[in-house]
Amino acid sequence: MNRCRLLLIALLLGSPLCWGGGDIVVVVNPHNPVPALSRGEVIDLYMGRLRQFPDGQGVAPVDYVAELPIKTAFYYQLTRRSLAQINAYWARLLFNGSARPPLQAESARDVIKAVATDRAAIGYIYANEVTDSVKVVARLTADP
Amino acid sequence: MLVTSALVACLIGFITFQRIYHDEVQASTQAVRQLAATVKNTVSIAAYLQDQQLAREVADGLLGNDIVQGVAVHSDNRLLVDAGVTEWDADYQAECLSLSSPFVVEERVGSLCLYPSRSYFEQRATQRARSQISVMLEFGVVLMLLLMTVMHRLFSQPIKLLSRHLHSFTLNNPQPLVVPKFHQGDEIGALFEDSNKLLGSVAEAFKRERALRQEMEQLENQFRHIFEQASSGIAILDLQGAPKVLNPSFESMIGAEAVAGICAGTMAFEELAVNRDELARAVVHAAHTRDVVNTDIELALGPRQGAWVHLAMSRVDEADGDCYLEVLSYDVSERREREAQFRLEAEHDPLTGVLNRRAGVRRIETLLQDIQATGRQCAIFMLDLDRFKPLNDAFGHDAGDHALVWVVERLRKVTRGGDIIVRWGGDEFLLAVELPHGMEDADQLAGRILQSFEQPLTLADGQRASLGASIGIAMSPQHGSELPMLIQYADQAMYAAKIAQGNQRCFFQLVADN
Repeated sequence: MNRCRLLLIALLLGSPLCWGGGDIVVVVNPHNPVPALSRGEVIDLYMGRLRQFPDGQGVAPVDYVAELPIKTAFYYQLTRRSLAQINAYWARLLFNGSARPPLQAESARDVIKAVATDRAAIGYIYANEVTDSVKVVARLTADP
Repeated sequence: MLVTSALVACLIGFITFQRIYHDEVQASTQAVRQLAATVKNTVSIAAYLQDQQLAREVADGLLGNDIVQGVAVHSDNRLLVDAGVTEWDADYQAECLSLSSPFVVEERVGSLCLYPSRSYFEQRATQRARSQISVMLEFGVVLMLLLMTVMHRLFSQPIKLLSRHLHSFTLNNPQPLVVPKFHQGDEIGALFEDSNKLLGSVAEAFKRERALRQEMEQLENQFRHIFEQASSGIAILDLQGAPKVLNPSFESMIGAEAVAGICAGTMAFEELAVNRDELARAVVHAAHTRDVVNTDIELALGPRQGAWVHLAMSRVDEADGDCYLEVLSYDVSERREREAQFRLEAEHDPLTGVLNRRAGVRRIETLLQDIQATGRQCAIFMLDLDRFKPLNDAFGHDAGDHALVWVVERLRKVTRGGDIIVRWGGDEFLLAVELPHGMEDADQLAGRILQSFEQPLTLADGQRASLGASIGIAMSPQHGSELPMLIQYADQAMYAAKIAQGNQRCFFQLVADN
């Protein structure tokens, strides 16, 4: 019992570090003129603070449904917040009715597809999943 | 006391209010900070997203607290919400909080300012202070009442009781004070007991004093009675002889006029006496010595003028330095009269009234001494009646007595007051006569005596008889100065005269010559 719990804690704590080689990259439509995005800009885009890219293009962030490991890792690396905290943030704003959380995709493939087809879209995937149909504008390294 | 209490109460009230106000400000600040901390996350999000609606909601929530008067939320220098800040009192500090991004802690996204409601906490402070002060006051009043009651019960009441007792305390009917039950053995009790002791001793002293006074009064009355009722006259004089007090007996003795005179000072005390020099000397003597001075005076005036009074005078020195003369007087007239009578009877021949032999000798000896001292002369006559025995035999003793009286009458007629006539024997008389011219005068006197006998003697029954006398004369100092000798000489001379048929005189000298 104790061993199981220890294992669980280790898994939970270590999970973001488990994907050591797997950096997360933020991708946009290749036609999007934005060359790169800072970490702060990525946060602001995903947390609803920025509604458009620096060039004035409207933005449509794409997220994942449910608690996929990449989602947890993404938000942790970006904001040092747990997913629960992020969900609470959105819950507060949704109740208030003043914000709109990102769209939710099923998988990386869905994300790539959404980004590749929508010029305003922005998404995130593991670096090794990048295709030519998307443009990497930011990279979140696994190391804090 | 009331003013002091009020001042102290005001001071305490002021201090309390200040303290409570300060506490309240502290508490409010604390509460505002806590409120700010509570809403910090939400406001941070609002500032992060520049979400005016969210900020407004939070602000509304904050304004629901009485303690918050105004809320201002800024986002990157843009004002998101500004509620209730306009009426803000500028000199009061707002609680401002810097807001950081919910995701990037280092990033500042705005600020939250809370404006505490001053009127609210002032009101609260006032209320609290008021309730606290009122509690204090109530407590104080209760405590004071309690204290006053206790003080009254413990001190004021017994002291009032003591005061009332002392007020109603009378020396005539001294009642001891009752020590209050609660104070037996403490200071108040001791005060009561000491008061009792003091009052008791005062009452005792008063009683003693009164008894003493009564005794004194009684004694004084007795003395006064004695003084006033005494049959003997009593006078109190000062040392100069001026009267201070006279008792009724003394006053009646000397008479009202004399009393008025000596009391007014118009008449000296010694003027009461005929022999005033003697009295004056006696007064001086008595005033300056401790002797009791006795003197007899003859009253010079008043109802008893001429009476003899014995005065016993003595000086009395009072303890307080007062001195006076005490004069006791007794009427001694009767005694003196009796004495005089006694003397008369003792010294005189009861029949003829001339000196008897013993008294005569004494008197003549005195005369002789006197004459000797002054160089005068005197004659001693020895006179023996001729024909007395036949008369006595023929007419009886009464006739003889009559004849002797008759003889003395003759002798008195021819002699002077100062001459001494002595009945020497049955029908013998001795005369001592002071004579300036000696024998010459003596001879003349003898002649006059014999001449006076020539007149016939008328007896009681009308019969007549004649008497003669033989006189022997001795002279002093010519014949001596000792009376026995002179008498003897005169006797011899008388015999010589008798032998020479009687009715003649002989000088001793002549006899001696014969």
